[in-house]
Formats: sequence, structure tokens, C-alpha cells
Amino acid sequence: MLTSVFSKNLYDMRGGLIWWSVGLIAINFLIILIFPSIEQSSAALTEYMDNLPPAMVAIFGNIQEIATMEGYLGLELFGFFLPALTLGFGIAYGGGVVGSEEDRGTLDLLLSYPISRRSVLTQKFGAIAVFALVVLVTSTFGLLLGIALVDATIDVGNLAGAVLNTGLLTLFFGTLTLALTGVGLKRGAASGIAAGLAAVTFLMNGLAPLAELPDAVRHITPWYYYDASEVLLTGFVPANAAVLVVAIVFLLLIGLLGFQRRDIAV
Amino acid sequence: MTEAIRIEKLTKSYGKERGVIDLDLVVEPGEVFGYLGPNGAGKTTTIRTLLDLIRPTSGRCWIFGLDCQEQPIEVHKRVGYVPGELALYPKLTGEQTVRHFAALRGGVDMAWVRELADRLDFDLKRPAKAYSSGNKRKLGLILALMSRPDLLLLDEASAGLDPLMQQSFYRILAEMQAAGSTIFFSSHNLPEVERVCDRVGIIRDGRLVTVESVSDLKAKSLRRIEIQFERPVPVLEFEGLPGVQDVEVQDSRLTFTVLGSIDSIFKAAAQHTVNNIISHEPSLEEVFLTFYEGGAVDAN
Repeated sequence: MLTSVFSKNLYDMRGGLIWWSVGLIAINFLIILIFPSIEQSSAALTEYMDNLPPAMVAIFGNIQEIATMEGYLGLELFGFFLPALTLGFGIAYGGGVVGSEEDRGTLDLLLSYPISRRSVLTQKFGAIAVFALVVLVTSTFGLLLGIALVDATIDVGNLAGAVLNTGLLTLFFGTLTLALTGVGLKRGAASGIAAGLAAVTFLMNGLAPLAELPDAVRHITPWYYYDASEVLLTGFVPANAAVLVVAIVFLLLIGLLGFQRRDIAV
Repeated sequence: MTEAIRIEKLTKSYGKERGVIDLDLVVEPGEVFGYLGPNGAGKTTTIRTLLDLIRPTSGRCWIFGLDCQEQPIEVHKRVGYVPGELALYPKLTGEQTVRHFAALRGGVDMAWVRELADRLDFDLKRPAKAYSSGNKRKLGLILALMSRPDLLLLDEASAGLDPLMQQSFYRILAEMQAAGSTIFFSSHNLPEVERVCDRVGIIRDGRLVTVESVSDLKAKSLRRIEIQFERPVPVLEFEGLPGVQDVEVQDSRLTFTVLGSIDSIFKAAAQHTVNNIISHEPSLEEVFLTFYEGGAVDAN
């Protein structure tokens, strides 16, 4: 289990892996259990939501479809709640895998071994990616179980696309945090910047149309390419996911470049 | 044969803080080289540059002919390192820690690891966070020694070991040297360096002030010695002995300063009944003053 930096980091995350998986399965499951009552009162809800300020609607998504499972999940889960949670672990581990090793001083010992900095950072990135994958895949079973239980249906292909995008968005912010510690920021600063950027870009993406800002403003936010709510309704857009993948690779390269050049703190 | 360590014109500055300045140093294969200096003199900076953990501002260094900055992985394969500020993974046990780092290095003989643990009286089974600082140090030594490296870089490696374990540690180092390893031994403790090393480099304020053989260093080192006799002794018997200065007699207690060999004073003392001898090792500052009084080094 401890034969590589990759497996050692996953081993360190094992407690988190279990709790995040169990927690998200439970949350997903509970959210589905509320669906039947939403479905029944959809007419009243739609009317209520029509009266909400347009800014809120712009941010939290398409309300017309709340009576369908896809629309409901897009609004209640994938629109904000789920990515807010998964970004939590993405940013925490992204900041921690290098940042806390450096704070604690173990990075000094680790990098004195015959292993390149590139390999260390890449393996740590791999551990975060596998963590995100496992948590998201297992928690999706909570959704599927709930959907079966309330006798509803969902487009499984679209759901898989939405889950994949959630994973990519999580990894985007996780890799951003990792890259910031890679270039030399402290863990706290890196996590703070990443969390702040996540919030700002979320609002930019949601409010740009309302504020009559050019579309380009949305296009520079990762949330635009994420848009899991839309994926649930209309299907997975490979090009959008590809943008996130390219952005993740770019961030990783920035982190690698910085990490390879800089001094390691003690 | 290639030098174990070659450092040329190495400078490392950290903004306002001092690192090392214009350092030139060669360590021959098979020698135990003491790197002596007070805390903050630049010992750790030198070692961490050799390991490519930090990058030189200017200058270059090689280990066994391999460029430390260009070929760090090849260098690391041949080096065992004990950091001055040793940090370990708190949740791993000693054994897990050893297995993890052994896997990263490859080719570690676990029987040798167990022998090292035995000899250092170290329990591999407990989690690192439960270890005392002495035990952490032992684990750090096991990690550095487990691959029987060609070069050991030890940064204040014996700090925190009790005297008995220090002796075990010195014996292991002697065996490693006999088996052909080179040992670079940083310390701020002069007697320890004299005990363990063949040659000594003295670093101060980031500059290497001298490299001496240990025998030369001993010949030049000034010590204050106190001998308690059974009965009062005549001061004349001790004044004028070679290397002896500042002789004082108070009843049956004799104190003096001696430079180099203490043989003559002991021969003279042996004429009387000796109850006790106290030797005050010189502080590093005193060594610097002895070596460079009015010389090249600014004593501030």
C-alpha cells in the first residue's frame, strides 16, 4: 500500500474517502426522497419561482423543468450544492498534498530520495483524481438507488455526463490549488485563492447574462463548461468537458514548472 | 578517483538572510568529514543544496562527479540523508515509514534495517507521532543508513540521541566508513567532530574559514582543565610545561589552559594523588578565536 507516492497519498486519504463517499451517498439519497413531493406541487412551485428575483433564477438554474427528475437534480444538486461540496475536498486535498508536506517538513526528506519532483507532483495529482472519481462514482449509486426507490426514471447517459463534469470541475479547482502550492504558495493562501476564484467565477457565470455582460465573461469561467444542469436536460457536450481537461492539464503543467524550479522550504 | 563531494564557488542568498558565500570544498571518498559551525552558519544550506532541495544563487556542486542540480536523481541514489529538522509522517509506524521510503529507493535489505533498529534500540512498531525526539532521530538514521549509501549527509544527526546511543551510532558510522562509505557530518559540537571525523571544515557566517585535519585541530585547540588533588601541590611543577598557560593553584585545586597535547601536564600530575579531573571543552567561539586571533576572521 505504501509502495509509491501515489498509493501513500491515497492511503492517507482513506478516512476521507470513506466519509465523503458515505456522506454524499446519503445526501444524494435524501435529495431524491424529496422529489415526489416537489413533483406533486410543481405547478405551485413554478408559480412561486416565477416571482423570484431574476438574479436568483439566473444563478440557481432552470426552474421550468423542476417537475422532471433531470430538472430537479440540475436545480437542487448539480446547480450548486454538489459542486460546492466536492470543491471542498478538491481544494482541501489540492492544497494539502504538497502544502502540508512542506509545512510539516516531510517534503524535505521525500525529495532527497531518487524520485523527481515532477513524479512526486504528478503522483499526488493522480491520488486526488482517483479520490474524486471514487467519491463521485460511489455517491452516484446513492442517486440511482433513490431514483429506483421513488419509482422515477432518469437518463443515465446524461447523469453520467453530469457526474463526469462535476469530477472535472472538482479536479480543476483541486489542480489549481495544487499548482499554487507547487509554485510556492503556502497551503492556506493557495486554498483561499482557489475558493475565492471558485465563488467569483460561479457568480460571473450566473450573473453575466443578467448584467448584460458579454458572453466572453462566462466563457472564461470553468462553470460555463461544467454546466451539469444543462447536461442532465440536453446531454453531455464533449467539447465542454475537453475544455476542462485541457485547463486541468495546463494548471498541472504550471504547477510542475514552478515546483521544479523553486526552493523547498523547511 | 572522483571526489565524493566537490563544491565550487557556491553562493546561496535568501534575500536579506545569509546562506553561504563563495564556498569551495572537496571531500575525498572514504573520509569522514566534519562540517563544524554554530547554528545558522550555513551548514544546512550547504547540505540542502547538495541534495538539490534548494538551488544555488551561483556556483556548482557535484557528488561523485554527478552535477547536483543537473542529475539529482542519480545523486540521490547514492546518498543517505538525515535532515537537521527531521519531520516524519505522524500516522505511519516506524516500519511503515521504512517500507515506504525503501520502496521509493529500491534494493533495501530489510534484515539490515532490523539490525540497525536492534543496535539503536528502536521499536519499529509504534506510530511516528508516539516517538520521542530521540526515537525520531533513530528512525531518521535508519532511513539514511538502510541503503548502505556511498555518501551519508548527516545534518546534526546525533542531536537528541542519549550518550549510549551516540556510541552505537558512532560505531555504525565507523563500520560504514570501513565498508567504503563517505560521511559528511555536520555538527556544532567540537568534541563530537573530533571523535568521529578525519578532517574538519569550519563554517561561520556562511563562509568556510578553514579545513583542517582533526589532529591539527586538536593541536591548536585550547582547553581549560581543572585537577583536584588529594593535597595542595606546588605551582612551580606545572608552570612552564609545554603549551600550558594561566596556571593557578588554590589549595589542592590546579587550573590551567593548555594548547594542544596534554601529555606533559598529566605526567607531572601523576606525581601526586589525583581525585578528579574536569576538562572544559572550548566553545566554538573560543575555537574561532584561537585559530584566527587578529587574523582573517572577524571575531564579531
